[in-house]
Amino acid sequence: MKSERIEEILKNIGNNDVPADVHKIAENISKDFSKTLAQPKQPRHIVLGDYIMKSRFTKLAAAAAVIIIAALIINFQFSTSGVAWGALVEKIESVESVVYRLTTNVKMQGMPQGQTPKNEAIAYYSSEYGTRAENYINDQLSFIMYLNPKENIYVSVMPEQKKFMRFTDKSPDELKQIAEKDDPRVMVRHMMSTEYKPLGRDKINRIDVEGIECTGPGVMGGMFEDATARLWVEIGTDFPVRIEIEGIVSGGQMEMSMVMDDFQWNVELDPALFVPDIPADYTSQELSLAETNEGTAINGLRLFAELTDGRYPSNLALLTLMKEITEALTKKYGIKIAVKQDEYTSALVDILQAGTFYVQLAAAEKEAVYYGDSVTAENPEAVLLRWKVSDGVYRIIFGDLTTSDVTAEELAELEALQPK
Amino acid sequence: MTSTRAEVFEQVRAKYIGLLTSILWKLTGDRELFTEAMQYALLGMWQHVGKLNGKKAHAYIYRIALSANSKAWRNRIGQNGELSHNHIGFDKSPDEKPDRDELDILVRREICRLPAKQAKAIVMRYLEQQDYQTIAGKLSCTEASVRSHVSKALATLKSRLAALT
Repeated sequence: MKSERIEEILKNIGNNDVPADVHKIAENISKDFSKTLAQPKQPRHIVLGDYIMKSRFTKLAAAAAVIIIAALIINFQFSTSGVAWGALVEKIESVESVVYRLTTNVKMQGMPQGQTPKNEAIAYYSSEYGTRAENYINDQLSFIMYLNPKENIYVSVMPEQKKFMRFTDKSPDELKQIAEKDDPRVMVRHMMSTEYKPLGRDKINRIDVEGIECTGPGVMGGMFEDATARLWVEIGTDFPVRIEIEGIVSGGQMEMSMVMDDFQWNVELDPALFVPDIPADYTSQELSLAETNEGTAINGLRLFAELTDGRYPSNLALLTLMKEITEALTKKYGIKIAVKQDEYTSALVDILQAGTFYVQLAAAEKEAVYYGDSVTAENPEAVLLRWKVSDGVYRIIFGDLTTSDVTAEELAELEALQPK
Repeated sequence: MTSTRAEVFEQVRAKYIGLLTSILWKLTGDRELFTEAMQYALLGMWQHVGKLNGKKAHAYIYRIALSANSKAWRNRIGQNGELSHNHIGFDKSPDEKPDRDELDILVRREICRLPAKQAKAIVMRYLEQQDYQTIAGKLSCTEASVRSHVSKALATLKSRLAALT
């Protein structure tokens, strides 16, 4: 090789400008490093060594943590239509209260096992007093969610940050609907109303149980791209003792498993448990949950595109959406995303409107089809999302986020020209 | 004492973070490598913060950056210093030539194996396109010395790349 060629290569390397996101990465690493130095009570060499050892995975671990937190905040969206499975559904419907444990595990491609935080929640549901969910990350209390439709209360209290987040703009009836959707009794009802296969008999903690299994993308009402749920019911009492859910996101790049167990059905609960305990020095963050509609969906898609230079979410399954929002914000903030909770939550709530809207369309069987995996803001004429509004008429959100109603024939012509 | 050192570190960090970012990005060209190298560089700055407030601060920054870059590359390719051909798509037949991106990776990889003075000189002269007089001032040596380091570095890179390609 001639030395002129080497000089040319060197100059070419030298002409590489630093991309904006790399500047951001550098800034974040550098600030985090300074913060690490400021940590008291730990021998400095251990802090620094730890920092180097763990930092490769910090970003992913933070991402996983917020995904899990978000997943717990989001209400499962269940359709309640379909065929009910007689006696068990009836029995569950008559339950006045239930306490259970929810353990969540996330596996992300590229993240070694053990790097994701351990996530556990203890949930209390009462027909009379509402919901209380204590959420623990790595055995540390992360937040407590209180939901009481009768008192118009929907609050998350975060002891570590000394903050509480109040969700407003919801009527008692709407809060009641949210509470019902978040209720394991509804989850059981939903599983019973979908196609399932019997798993036969087994033993869980020396209890004789019988199980059923449901599979498919609809199992968790659009939360996953594909999911399997198993319900194990105690023979004799007919009460569920364990619910297992395994879902995948982004074609398997992220796998999430949830186990609900330690059920206590019809247990007497102290009303005080459901009253938000907010110390005087906690600061408030009001959060408005707008009604989901076409406008909020478009706003969510626009916000996502702004974060990603014109790209739209590849899929509107809620967890895929959360994963992609997290990735976009992680790219924006680097490893500091874990301390950018306020901005993260705000962006998450707004962008998720797009996913929630899609879930609603799917649940209403409106022939919704989303093309975010191939359409970007660079394709203003392409169909980004479409759904049926009436016989022979479809509503379209285009790549430039404008909307139009078209006939079935016009839709077919447009979809034939979609970018691949 | 600790807070004084931390304060000095903060000043130095603010002053040189842009330069470090630019050097390390050019030397790595890869976000993962860059992230790792930047962490080592910050650690190096902390360890040598006392030397970063004097006349030779610039020379030390380059030394820290090059050392951090070498560590990051070593972590990627292993302690034997051998470049993984698979890693850059180099499992080609002998008559297939590497493309431009692969050559960039090879050159970056070989820069981190140069002696420190040669590496500093080649980075400043070619990657940052500084003139010899400026480099001599920053490295506190003569222009002739800089030319000598650059010349030796080019020869080394040429022979190593010839062997690899």
